[in-house]
Amino acid sequence: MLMPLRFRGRATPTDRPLVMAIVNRTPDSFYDRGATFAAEDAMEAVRSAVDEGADIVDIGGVKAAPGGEVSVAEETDRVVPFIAAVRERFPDLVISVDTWRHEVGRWACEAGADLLNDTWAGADPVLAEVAAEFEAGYVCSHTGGITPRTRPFRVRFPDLVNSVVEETTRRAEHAVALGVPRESVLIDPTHDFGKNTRHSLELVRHTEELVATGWPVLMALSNKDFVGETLGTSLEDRVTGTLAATAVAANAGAAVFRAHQVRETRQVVDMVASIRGDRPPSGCVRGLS
Amino acid sequence: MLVAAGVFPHPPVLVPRMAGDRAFELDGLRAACAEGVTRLLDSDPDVVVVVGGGEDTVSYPTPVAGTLAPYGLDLTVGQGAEVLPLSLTIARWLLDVHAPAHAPLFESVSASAPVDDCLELGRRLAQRHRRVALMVMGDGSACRDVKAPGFLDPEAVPHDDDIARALATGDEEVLAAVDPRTSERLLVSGRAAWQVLAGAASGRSVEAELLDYQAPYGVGYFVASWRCGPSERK
Repeated sequence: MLMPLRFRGRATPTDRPLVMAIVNRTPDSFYDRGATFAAEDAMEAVRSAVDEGADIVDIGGVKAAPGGEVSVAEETDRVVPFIAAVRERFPDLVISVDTWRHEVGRWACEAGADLLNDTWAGADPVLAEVAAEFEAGYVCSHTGGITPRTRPFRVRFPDLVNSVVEETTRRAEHAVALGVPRESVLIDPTHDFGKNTRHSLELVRHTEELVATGWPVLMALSNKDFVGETLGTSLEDRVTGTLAATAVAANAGAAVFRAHQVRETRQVVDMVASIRGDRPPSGCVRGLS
Repeated sequence: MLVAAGVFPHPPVLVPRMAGDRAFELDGLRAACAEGVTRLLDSDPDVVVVVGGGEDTVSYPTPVAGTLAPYGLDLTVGQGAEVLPLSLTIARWLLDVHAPAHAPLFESVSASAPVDDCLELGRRLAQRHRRVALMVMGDGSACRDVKAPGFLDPEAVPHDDDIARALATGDEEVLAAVDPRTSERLLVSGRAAWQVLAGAASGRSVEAELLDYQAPYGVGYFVASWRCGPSERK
């Protein structure tokens, strides 16, 4: 069984890993390429994600890769009113905001967000304080200290797993010290951020060591470049590789999977949870009647 | 004194095992490197000195090794302590492939070394023996296009074009004039090593050829071959 998590009072299941659906209010994110930039398309994506079994939606307003500057005001316009609308329609859904800026984080929490997904690993140190102020959840990432929206360039790690464990658990303890509830803190090895493909593969391979820290592990693997480079496939053909990595990490005890393909990811984590013995089969009559 | 120099790139992906199925994308660059190493050793040097950027300026004792393990590939080149920086590790790999019998001297130069220090180091290295061949490891900007590691900086391609021209014509004065702060901003890893070359070649006549200049991943790669002769009084 997985440890119980709670985000601003919203409890999540413990018999299987959670699925965090990606909903980008961006015109240029790498996978959806603006498909949910418009508010109505984004709301439809949230509805569909919930129908397909998402536990959390992760709403972002700035793509991770380098590109046109998005001001705080622009990012706020993209995500904050939308979070308020999602909160109203889905009162029980855990809402995460994907941002590194504390201003956006604060307004998102005021609008109803439960979790701050700080993918750029404390680039703005005030963001964790905002999580504490609202008793919201907080994701502790590992980037090796690179600047937001930059790419890795010949990054080297004498001991990658140790670097990830050290940086993420230090952030987690810091967040708790600031006042973030312990059951609302996740650690994320942050695949591809400041890492090459072999690094990202190594972090899937060593999921157990991340799990052994005792902090719930968020895995954001979905359709990333490391999957594409590993299989030699283009952006459109990374789902199978993503799901394979998801299964491996789920079997090793990862707690949350950030995903574009919610239905498929939910099936994988449910299946793995049942293989592990954490989750009973949905129905089971063969040979039993 | 300097009798020859070769300029080479040093991305980890130059090693085919690192790149896997995509290794073929740099086949042309590797062929140019092979040609560059051959020409460098054809100069009949007493010693080959390898210089490349690193965190610090260090003369490595030999034997010495480098490893690509921190980049995710379990591959060690050379013998002894695995202390060579990336630039010199790739040089060791190139020599292992094309001239395994050679035991060069390895010199790193700090990426933040002032220009004058680089020039002086070059002059000193050139005086080590009667006939010195210098293997210079350095890459251009990593900010050449929107897919580049450092994204697009409009100054990156003109900067690399200037370097390519200087390497093609043996113009050490252009190399000596590269501004360290600009290099740092443009994620240029070759600046200090090129300036060591400029110091080593200073006052020598140079017969130069640019064997390759490409940037398939948004980072400038150069292969150049210099043959150096008696000084021309200017």
